[in-house]
Amino acid sequence: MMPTEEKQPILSIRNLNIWYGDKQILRDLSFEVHQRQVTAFIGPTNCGKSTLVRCLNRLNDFTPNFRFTGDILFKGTLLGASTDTTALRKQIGMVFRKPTLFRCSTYENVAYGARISGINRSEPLDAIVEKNLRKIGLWDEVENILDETPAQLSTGQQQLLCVARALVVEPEVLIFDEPCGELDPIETVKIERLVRDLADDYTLIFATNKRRQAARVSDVAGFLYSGELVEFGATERLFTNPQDNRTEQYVTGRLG
Amino acid sequence: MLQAEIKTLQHKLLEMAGLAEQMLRQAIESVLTRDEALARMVVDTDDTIDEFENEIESLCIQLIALHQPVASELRFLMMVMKISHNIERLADKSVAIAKRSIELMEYPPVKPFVDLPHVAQVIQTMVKDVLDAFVNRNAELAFEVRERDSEVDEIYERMLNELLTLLSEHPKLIEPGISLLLLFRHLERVGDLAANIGEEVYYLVKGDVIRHSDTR
Repeated sequence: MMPTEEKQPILSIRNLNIWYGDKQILRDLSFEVHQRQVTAFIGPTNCGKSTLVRCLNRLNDFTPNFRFTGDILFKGTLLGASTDTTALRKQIGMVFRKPTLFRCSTYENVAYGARISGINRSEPLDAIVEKNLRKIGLWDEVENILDETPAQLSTGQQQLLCVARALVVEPEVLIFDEPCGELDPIETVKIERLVRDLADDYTLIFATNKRRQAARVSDVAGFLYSGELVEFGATERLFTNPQDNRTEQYVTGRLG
Repeated sequence: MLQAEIKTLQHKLLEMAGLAEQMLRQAIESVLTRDEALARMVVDTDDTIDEFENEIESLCIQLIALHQPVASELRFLMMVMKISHNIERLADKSVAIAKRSIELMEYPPVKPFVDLPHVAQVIQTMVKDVLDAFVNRNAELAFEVRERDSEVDEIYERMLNELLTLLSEHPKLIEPGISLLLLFRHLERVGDLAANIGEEVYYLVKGDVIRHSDTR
C-alpha cells in the first residue's frame, strides 16, 4: 500500500495560507503528495478540506475574495499567475460530491472530454468511451443505453460516470471531494474499490469527513482541524497510533 | 459509549488479574508452608479464571464488531485480549505450581529453600508492577518489568544447577527432585508471562511493538 518507487513528490505544498476576505481558512500547510498513492484529507465539516483540494488545480481562483500565500508545486513547477489552468485541470481532474453530468447522453458525457481536450486521439472515440467505462466497471450496465440520458442512472452510477469522464482526458492526478456524500453504502463501496484500483495508475487525493472511509482507501492521510494540518502521515499510523491528541480524539469520534 | 464499555472491560480484567495474583501468592505459600488445603484451593480457582478469559474475549470481539474502534481504543481492546490470555496462562502456571506443591508434600523436604522465596518475591512484584503499569498506562514501568525477567532467568539457572548437582549426588531424591525442578520451571515461566504483559502494556501506551527486540 506504500509504493516508494517515485521519490519525487508529484505535488509539494509549502506554507500554504488561504483567506476568504478577512477569514483565514487554512493555516501554514506543508505536505507532499506522492505518485500512485491515495492521499486522504479528513476532518470535520468546515475544517478546510474542500478549500485545500480545490487549490491543487486552482478551482478556487473563481471564488470571490479568495487569497493565498505559499507555494504549490506540481511536478516541481510552481503554480503561479502564468500557469495554464486549463492544461493544469486536464492533468489534475476532479470529482465532486454531487454527480455533475452534462445534459446529453451517457456516451457524450464520456466522449466530451476526448472531443474537446485536443489530446492526440489515435483511437476511435467509441473505443475511448468503452475503455474508460470498462475501467470504472460501468460498461456492462450502460452499454445498451449509451445514447440515453444518464439521468435514469442511480446516483452511484452517475458518480462513476463522472469518474470516467474525468479519466478520458488522461489526468495524472484525480481529486475526489466527498465523492460518496450522496451515495448509499453499496454505491460507496463501489467508489472505494474503484479508488483503490485507480491507484495503480493514478495519484488520488480524497477529501472526506468519513473517518473510516479514509482508513479504508488511503495510503497517506492528513487530519485537518480548524484550517490546521494537525497530522499527516501513513494512514495505518494515523488510525493505530496518532501522534497528536486532537487526531486521537477525532479518529475515535470524540472530536468533530 | 465505547468509553463506558472500556471502563467495564478494564474493571473486569483487573478483577481477573487480582484473582490470578492471589492464586500465585497462595501457590507459592503452599510450597513454602507445605499447606495442602491452600494448594487445592488454587487448583479449584482455575475454572473461574477460564470463565473470566472467555467473558473478556467475548466482550472485546463484541466491542470491535459494534464500534470498529481505532487508535488507542483499538490498541486497548486488542491488548486486553492478549493480556487476559497471558493472565489465564499465568493462572495455569500457579495451578501447576500448586500441583507440584501437593506432590512434594508426599516426601520429606528435598532441600531447604534458599533462592525460592527470593525469586518468588521478584516474580510476584513483576506481576504486581505490570498490572500497575496497565492501570496507570505507565510504559516505562512496563518496559522495566520486562527487563527484570533476565534476573529471574539467572536465578532460575542457578537453582536448576544446584538442584541437578544435588540429585546427581543423592539419586534417592530423584522423584521429589523432578517435581521441584518442574516447579522452578513453572515459576520461571510466570516471569516470562509478566514480561509478555509488559510488552503488551508498552504497546497499548506507546503504540510501538517491543516484542522480539533484543533487550530481554
